[in-house]
Amino acid sequence: MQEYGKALSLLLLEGDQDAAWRLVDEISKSGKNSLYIYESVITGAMRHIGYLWETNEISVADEHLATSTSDFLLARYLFEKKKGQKSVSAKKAMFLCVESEQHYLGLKMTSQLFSEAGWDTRFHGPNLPLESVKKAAEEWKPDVICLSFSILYHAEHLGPYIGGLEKLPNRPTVIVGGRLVEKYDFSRHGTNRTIFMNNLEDVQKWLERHPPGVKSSVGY
Amino acid sequence: MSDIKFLPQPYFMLNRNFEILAASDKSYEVFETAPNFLDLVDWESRRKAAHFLALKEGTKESELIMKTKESPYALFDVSINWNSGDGHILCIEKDHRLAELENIVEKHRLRLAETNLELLEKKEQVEQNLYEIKSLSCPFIKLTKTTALVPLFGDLDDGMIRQNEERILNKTQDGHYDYLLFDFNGVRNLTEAGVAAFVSIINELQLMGISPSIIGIKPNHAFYLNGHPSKLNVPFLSSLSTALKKTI
Repeated sequence: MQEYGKALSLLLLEGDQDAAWRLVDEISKSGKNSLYIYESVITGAMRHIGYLWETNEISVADEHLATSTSDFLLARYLFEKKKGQKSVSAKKAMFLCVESEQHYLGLKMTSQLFSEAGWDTRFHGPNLPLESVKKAAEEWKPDVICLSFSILYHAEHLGPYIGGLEKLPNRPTVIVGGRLVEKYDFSRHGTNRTIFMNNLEDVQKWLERHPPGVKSSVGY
Repeated sequence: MSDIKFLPQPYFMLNRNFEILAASDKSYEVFETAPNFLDLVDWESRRKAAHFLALKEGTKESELIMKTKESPYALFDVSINWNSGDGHILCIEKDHRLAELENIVEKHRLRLAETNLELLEKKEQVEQNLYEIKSLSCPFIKLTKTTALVPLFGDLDDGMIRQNEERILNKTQDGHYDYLLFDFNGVRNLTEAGVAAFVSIINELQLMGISPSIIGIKPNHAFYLNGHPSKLNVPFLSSLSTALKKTI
């Protein structure tokens, strides 16, 4: 399974959207589910790209190209996946990276898992200041708000974000994710209602326990 | 040696343990004072930096994330040259213009995402409008105590019938009508599924003891209605006035 990630990473670094899509499509058609595509193939590829930077084989500019190619890949994958599928959209979830945080691929994959599970989703992407989140959430009233961060220094934003959002009138559930959540304990930034998720597998398991059709099943 | 002071970029001279022996003035404008070069490197770049510095031969270049006075993580191009045990290292911050460009690209990306959301909202709105149009394209008009008129407008397809079927059946029953006139004058195209659904609604009405009639069939309608396997056992009339003369 690492081979898929490595193979994809080379295509991402070349910015070859078409070849990258053919590979992902082929893996998908061989019977692999979205969790596998996101976690093993795409995250695997991006991890390998991180390794290549660390071993001085590529530059940050190459990483940027790979990121935007992955972004396209994810959008196309979801589009194909949802074609003809009617959304239940009884429950709503919004997705954003805390202020200054630019790494949004993991968040995007999370939002796509929600969307595939029938949730009504809004993806706000990287670097969303708290005031903008609050405004958007007050208007749209999501049941769940997913926050992501990848740089340790951005963890300082978690406290104010979680505090501000959990107190909104419709009392949304705040879920926190990001590559560091698996490695370190950030629970001191949250409350007893905040959910921390280590990886996409956690997201998938949570979604299976919280189908979007049943309004009362969100764990407050 | 003291000329090092005046180099226009951050420069450090290191010993084998990467301890800083000398630096340019610019270094301390950009970085905090630290005994060891690795102290200036972001924790997640430290492994890369240690590996890169440990090569200790000739000239090498790398990208490192470093801690500056302005930011806890700033991207630098770092080059080092080792000469008789001393490391000479130059740190040049990645051009700000690159960051500006990244911001612009990011704005474009957001704009695209927003446009996408707007398009999605419009699509939902259009679907809702279409639903309403379909409901309106099948009004139920009371003519007399016993007769009602249902003029059909637009394309007669499966969706149009399915969406209005229940309303027509309920209104017919609630109003105790005996005759129901379907007016095809406003119908443009028919689909096979639409005809099948229409035939089934006629059969249901007949089972309820109501006499449906069809008015204003045009040649293209006749082709479709005739092509359907189960023939309709209802009067076909040319105009509303003929129908009214018959029912009143």
